[in-house]
Amino acid sequence: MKLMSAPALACLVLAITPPPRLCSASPKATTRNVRYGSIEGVVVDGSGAPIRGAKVFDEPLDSVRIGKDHFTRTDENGHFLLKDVPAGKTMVIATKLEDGYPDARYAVYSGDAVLPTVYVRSGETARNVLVKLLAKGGKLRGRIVEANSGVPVPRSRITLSRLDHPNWSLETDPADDGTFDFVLPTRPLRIQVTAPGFKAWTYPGPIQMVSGEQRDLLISLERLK
Amino acid sequence: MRCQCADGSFDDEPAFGIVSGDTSMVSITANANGDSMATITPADSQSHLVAITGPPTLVTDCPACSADDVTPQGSVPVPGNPAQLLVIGDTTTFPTNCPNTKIRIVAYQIQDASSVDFKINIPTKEQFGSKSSNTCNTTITTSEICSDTPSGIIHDTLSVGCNSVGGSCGYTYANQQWVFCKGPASSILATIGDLVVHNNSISVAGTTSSLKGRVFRP
Repeated sequence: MKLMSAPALACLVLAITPPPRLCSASPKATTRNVRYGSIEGVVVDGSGAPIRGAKVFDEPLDSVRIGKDHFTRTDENGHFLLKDVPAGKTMVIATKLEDGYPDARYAVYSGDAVLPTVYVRSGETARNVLVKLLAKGGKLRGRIVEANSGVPVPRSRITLSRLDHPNWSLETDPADDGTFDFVLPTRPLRIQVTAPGFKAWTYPGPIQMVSGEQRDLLISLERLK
Repeated sequence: MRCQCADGSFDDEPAFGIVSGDTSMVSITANANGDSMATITPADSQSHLVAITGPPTLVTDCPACSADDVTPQGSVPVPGNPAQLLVIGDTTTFPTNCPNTKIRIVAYQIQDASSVDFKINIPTKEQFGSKSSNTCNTTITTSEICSDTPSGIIHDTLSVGCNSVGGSCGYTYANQQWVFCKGPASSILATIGDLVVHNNSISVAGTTSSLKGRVFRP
């Protein structure tokens, strides 16, 4: 037995990975006396096939959860058990962005999808809840730069909005290098980019992705004179 | 433990031993696949030499490890304590379950005092100086008990929930702080400030505009 050489030592990469957990977070603290139950069920795609690794969220209708995300992931059979759900009426929503399913938690993406609503009783488990992912969308990637220099534009903001409900919008930041990445549904949306000191940029007409499509945008902002 | 070979491929080797100046900072466990994983728990803000050793392994297909029998060994810098939060994203939108009330999601990256990101799970919780009543009449659940923060990123979602009273309503939670939970002791990661949350407007640290790029310290 002998030790590895110095160059070989230098190439070692240590995987610092926490043990996998089914539930990433289970915070529960309240301003009133909230009671909790659980939800158990299966996540499927549009064809009814179970989906592994989907995130499942509870979105309460008669209470509100603030602070950190609360979710679980489905197992290899698409099965999930979501604990620490406030008792009462709640919507159950599943997402899997990495496979191209839009984030159904937000109205700008969810459209007219019918999402299951269950009543959770304190100390009990609502069983056999079937949660369907939204139809697969397309991936829109892009970069926001200053027209003349090509450098990222500081403090730019991207706004996505629905044509049928313009108020149901989503406004967010690009990354520090000006890049952004969305999984969009196949319904038409408007996209606009703004930044202080620059003319607003609007995509010419609605943007409508095809399922499985990947589209790249380079957005050049012009300075206000 | 993972060895990167000269051709860019990776060669995973089990690790079974630990050599460290402070072994309380390092543990090795098996994951669900039976692979050994090293978990490093920083105890201070210093760098430490940590060597992970494994059983001798015959390597013939990895140019970087061109020897015959090798004992995998390496060292990694240990990051300091979680000490501050950097805002890496600030999103305003409308939730599917009640699309006429606004929500705001502020994403915080946990960093050490040298602005190095923590990419591992960090136990955290939030706390408040005071809380007003919620005139929207929705019961509020918070994150005031320690729980996981995967990848060292806190996604703090703020909303009044589904507005049952119709018109304008909301609440103010004053002096929000995020706390690093470390055993029985805890330390303040960052003082954010006041949360003024209404059905159509959400102010964090005195602004409804994006906080991206701002660093919050204790």
